[in-house]
Amino acid sequence: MREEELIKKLEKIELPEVEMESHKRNLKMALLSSNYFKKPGIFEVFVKPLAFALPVLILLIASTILIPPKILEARALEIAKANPEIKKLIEEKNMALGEVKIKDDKAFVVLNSLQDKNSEITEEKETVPEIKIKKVEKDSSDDAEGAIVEINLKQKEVAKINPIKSDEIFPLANQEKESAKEIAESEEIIKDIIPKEATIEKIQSSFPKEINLIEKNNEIEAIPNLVDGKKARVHYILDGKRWIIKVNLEEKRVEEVEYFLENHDIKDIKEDIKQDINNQEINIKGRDLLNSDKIK
Amino acid sequence: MDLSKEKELIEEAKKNPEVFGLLYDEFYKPIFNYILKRTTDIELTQDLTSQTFFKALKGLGKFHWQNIPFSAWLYRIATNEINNFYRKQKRIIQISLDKIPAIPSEDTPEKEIEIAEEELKKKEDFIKLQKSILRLEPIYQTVITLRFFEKKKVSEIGQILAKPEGTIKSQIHRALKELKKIMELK
Repeated sequence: MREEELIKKLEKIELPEVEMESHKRNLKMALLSSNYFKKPGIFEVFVKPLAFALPVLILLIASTILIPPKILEARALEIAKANPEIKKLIEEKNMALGEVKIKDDKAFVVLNSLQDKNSEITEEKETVPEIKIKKVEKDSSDDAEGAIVEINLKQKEVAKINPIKSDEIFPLANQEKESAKEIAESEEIIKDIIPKEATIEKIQSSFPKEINLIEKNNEIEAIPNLVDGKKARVHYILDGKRWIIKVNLEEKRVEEVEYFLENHDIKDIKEDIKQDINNQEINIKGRDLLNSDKIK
Repeated sequence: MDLSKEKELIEEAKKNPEVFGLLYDEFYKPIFNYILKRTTDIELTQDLTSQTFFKALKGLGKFHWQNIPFSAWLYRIATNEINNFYRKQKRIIQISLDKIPAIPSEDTPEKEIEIAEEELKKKEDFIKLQKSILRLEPIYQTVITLRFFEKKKVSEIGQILAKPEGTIKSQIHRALKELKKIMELK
């Protein structure tokens, strides 16, 4: 057989042509009722995806709630430390970063004042009873004593630095002011240090050792940490001189006298204090202190 | 059906069962008879046709129009099903019953199958010839059937088998040569 003959045979052969109507109809029904065209039920739409999504969701929630706050707090502190204004406050005002609170995509960081070094101390001594007497180079009584730093975590930048003064945030009640005045005035050494003519300019709350942050009414608020008692500062002034008497209201005693004397010769002050204390005939310990190298 | 209309229908058929029904109505008969010419067995043809259309439906969502007629895609699926069947040399259709629903048997009268088988028997010459063709390799069976029984052009066979025309031409040539040998041996 030649190839042409085979081709001719293939081309001309009578082919089967079958109609299978019932098979066609039944197959069509089966195809159209198959799962492909079924509209997803509530299970497919909600339950099934949820079953798959649930573990992921749990992980996400866990990672949002449990892990990141510490990471965010650390990040907030890093952002704060890098800010030049905060750097300046830390170095010059001797402040330190404290508690961090995360709210939404913001972080709030406390800048606590390290009180004893709030301003440059030129002299310091203790008397008996134990009262610190220190002279500072400049009057810092109106300076901000701390701050709350607001950080935008998304933008990774300091959004605001809100200075805080203890008296604005933790004001004293009138009764507490009265009590502070009485304690200050009743202290014999204070009577000798501060001239009778000096007048009380103001009585304000003392900056707490530490500030804590709490969330109240959807806002972040600063609250004083009063573990070492509530304290007041009684400001006496006379002719550009200022004496700040720090009073522990709970222990009802004077803790410290800080004074600033504008354009006043430092030697005079030393003499003043020496004289004052000697006149009071304070005990040996007090005199020893005065005779020590601290005040010469 | 022109290609642009066919493209629209396919996109619509992905979401709309009625439109898929239209495509099915259009292509059921040619696909069924192509499979029949390859198998010369009515029941096997029914099974393979069912498999072909279920596979087409399953793959419809992923079907991307590439200017190749939908029929070419259906022929390709059918060809794969037939060749797979012969490769396995089994009359057990490899379908998972949970994936492809059973076609209700009460609506498939045995009489219809009997009539179809009677009709097939009348084509004695074809059945004899097909017996020889079945001895060829599946690819040669495919090109002979598509070229001479389905009257497809070489370019159309190329579209169905996703092969260049030159390859198809040489495959047809070799298939004829092989078939001639087989027929001469008889």
